[in-house]
Amino acid sequence: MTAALFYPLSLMVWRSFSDPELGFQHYLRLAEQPVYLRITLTTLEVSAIVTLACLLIGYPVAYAASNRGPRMRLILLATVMMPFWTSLLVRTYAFMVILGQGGPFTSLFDILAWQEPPRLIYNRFGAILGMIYVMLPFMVMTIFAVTSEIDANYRKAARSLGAGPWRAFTDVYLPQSYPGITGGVLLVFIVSIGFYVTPALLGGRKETFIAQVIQLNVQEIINWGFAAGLAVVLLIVTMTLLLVYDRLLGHESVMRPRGVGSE
Amino acid sequence: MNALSPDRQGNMAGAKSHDLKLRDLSKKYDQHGEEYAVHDMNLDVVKGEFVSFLGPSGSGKTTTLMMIAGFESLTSGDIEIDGRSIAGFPPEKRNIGMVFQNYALFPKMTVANNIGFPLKMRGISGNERTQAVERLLNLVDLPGYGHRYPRQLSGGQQQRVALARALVFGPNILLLDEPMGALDRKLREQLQMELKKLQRSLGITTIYVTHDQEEAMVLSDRIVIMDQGKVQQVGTPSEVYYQPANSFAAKFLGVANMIAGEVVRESRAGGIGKAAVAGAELHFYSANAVPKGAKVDLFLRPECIALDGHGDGADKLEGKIESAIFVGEATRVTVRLSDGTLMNVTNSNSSGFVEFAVGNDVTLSWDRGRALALTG
Repeated sequence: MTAALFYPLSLMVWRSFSDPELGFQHYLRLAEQPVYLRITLTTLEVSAIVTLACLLIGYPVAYAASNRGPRMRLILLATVMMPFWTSLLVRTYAFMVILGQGGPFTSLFDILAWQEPPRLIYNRFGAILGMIYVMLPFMVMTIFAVTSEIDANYRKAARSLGAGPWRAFTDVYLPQSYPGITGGVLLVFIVSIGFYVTPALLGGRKETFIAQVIQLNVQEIINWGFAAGLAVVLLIVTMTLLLVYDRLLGHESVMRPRGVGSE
Repeated sequence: MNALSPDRQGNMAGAKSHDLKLRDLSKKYDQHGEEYAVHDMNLDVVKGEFVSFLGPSGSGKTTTLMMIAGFESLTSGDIEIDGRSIAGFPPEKRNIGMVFQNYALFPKMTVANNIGFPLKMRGISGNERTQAVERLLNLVDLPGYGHRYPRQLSGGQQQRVALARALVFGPNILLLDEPMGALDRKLREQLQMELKKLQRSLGITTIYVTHDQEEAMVLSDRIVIMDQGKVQQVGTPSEVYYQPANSFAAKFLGVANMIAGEVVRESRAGGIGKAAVAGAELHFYSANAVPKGAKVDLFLRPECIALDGHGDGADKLEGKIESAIFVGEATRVTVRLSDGTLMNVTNSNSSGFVEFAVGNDVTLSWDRGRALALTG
C-alpha cells in the first residue's frame, strides 16, 4: 500500500528535476517569477478563508445535529449530505446560474432598484462561496463524528457544578470537540488547496489556483517537468503548514494517536 | 443560599445541613398524555438524612432526581430546600452536588482541575482553590492524585474524584445517580461503607438513586420505593423489609412469600384477623382494616418461617420439600404447599446443620401475627 502511494509520488519528484533535462530549472523559474508566489499565496489565502467559514458555519450545524434530538439530526444531516449525491460540476454550474447575470439574486436587486447589482461570481467572492458550499459537508461530518460521541452528562455535570450554559460549553464541551475541529480544518484546508473546478468556473482571473496552473502545464503547454515542480511546491507548502498546525495544537493532533503524549 | 461559607472556612464537616421537600411533584413528558413519569410525589427529607430512591427502571426515580437537580422541568408541584422553592432556578444556581452515573469526570482536565472546577465557576482562585482541592483529595483518600487524568484512574478512584468534585463547593444537598453501577461487588461494598461514613461525618442531606435493594438497605436512613412513577412506600430499611405497604414493595425488596387467601375473620386497622389459606386458617396482621370475604395475600419473609417448628399458638402449614440448598450460615429450603404455592424458607444454621431430604413432608410454622395481609 505504502509502495503504491509512494511510487507515483517519487516519480513526480524525480520528473520535476529531470524533465526535460536534469537540473533545478523549474524551481529557479518558480522562484524568479513573482506570479507563482502570488498564485501560491492566493491559493493559501482563499483556502484559509474557506476553511474558517466552513468551521464557523459547520460547527453550529454539527452541534445542533448532535444535541437537538434525533429529528433535528436527521434533517440537518440529510440537508448537509444531499449536495454530496450530485456531481461537483453540476453543482458549480448551478451556482453560476443562481448567482450570475439574470439569476434570481441579480433579478431581486433589479426589482428593488438598488443601483447596480453587485457581481457575485467571476471574482473572489464567487470562488469562496462555491468552495464553502462544496466543502461544508466535510467539515460538518468530521466535527459531528466527534461531537455525537460526547456524553450529555458532561454538560449536565458542568451545570450542576455551577457553570452557566456558556461556560459549560466553552470549558467542558468545546475542549472535547477539539479533535473534530482539528480534523475538519485539516481536511477542508488540504482539499481546498488542491481545488480546481470551482475557482476556475466561479472565480475571476485573479483567483487562479495552483491546481489550475498545473492542469495548464500538463494538458495544454505539455510541460510535465514544470507541472511536477509546481506539485512538489504545493506538497511542501501543505506539509509545512501541517507541521506548524501540529505544533500549535500539541497533543490534539491527528498525527499522534489521541491520548498519547499528553501526560 | 450562601453555600460557600462553610468551604471558605475550611470546615466542611461543620457545614450546616439542609432539608429537602418534594410537594405534589409530577412529571409528564407528553403534556396532553395521561402517562406520568412521576405522579404526585411527596417527600420530606430531614437535615442530614440519607434517603434512597429504589425502584426498577422506568419507576421515575431518576426523573425525580433530575428534577431536583434542575435538568428536568416540573409539570406540577414544587421542590423546596429549607422551605424555599428552587423549582425556578437553573441547575447552576441550585447549589446541589451531583455524582453522575459513570461519573462524568471531564476527560481533558486533571483530577485537580476537575475538583477545582466548581470553585473556578464561583470565582475562587489561587491558593484558596488549591488548598480546597488538596483537602478534598485527602478527604476521599486520594492524596497526590491531583495531576493525573481521569482515564488514568480505576473505576473506584474515579468515583471518589466525582464525589470530591460534588462536595468541594459545600453544596446544600448531595445527589447520587447509581454511582456504583459500574463497579464490581467487592469494591462496591467497600465504597458503600466509605460513602456512608463520609456522609455521616459531613452531615450532608443525601439522595441516592439505585435499583439495587441491598445497596439501598446498607446506605439509607430511609428508602423510597418507587414503581411506575409513584411512591409505593417510604420507610426505614427494616420497615420496608418487614412491613411492606403492598405486594410490589414486598417482592421488590428481598425474597417474599405470598400466599393467596380469603379473609374469614375481619380485622381492624393494626389488628389481627384470620384468613383461609391453602386448606388452613391462619392469623394475619393488617395495617389497614380488612372486611370479611376480602381477597388478601399473606406475606412472610423466608427467615420468619420455622421448619418442623413447635410452640403453641403458632400458625402452621403442611408441605413437601422440593429443594434444599446449603449456603453456609443457613439452608435455603423450598416447600410446595398442598395448593401448589411454593414457599421459600431460610433455616438458620445457628444451632448446627440440619439435613433436609427432598420429598419429605414438612410443617411450616411461624409466630401468630407474623404473617402480614397485603391487599394491593
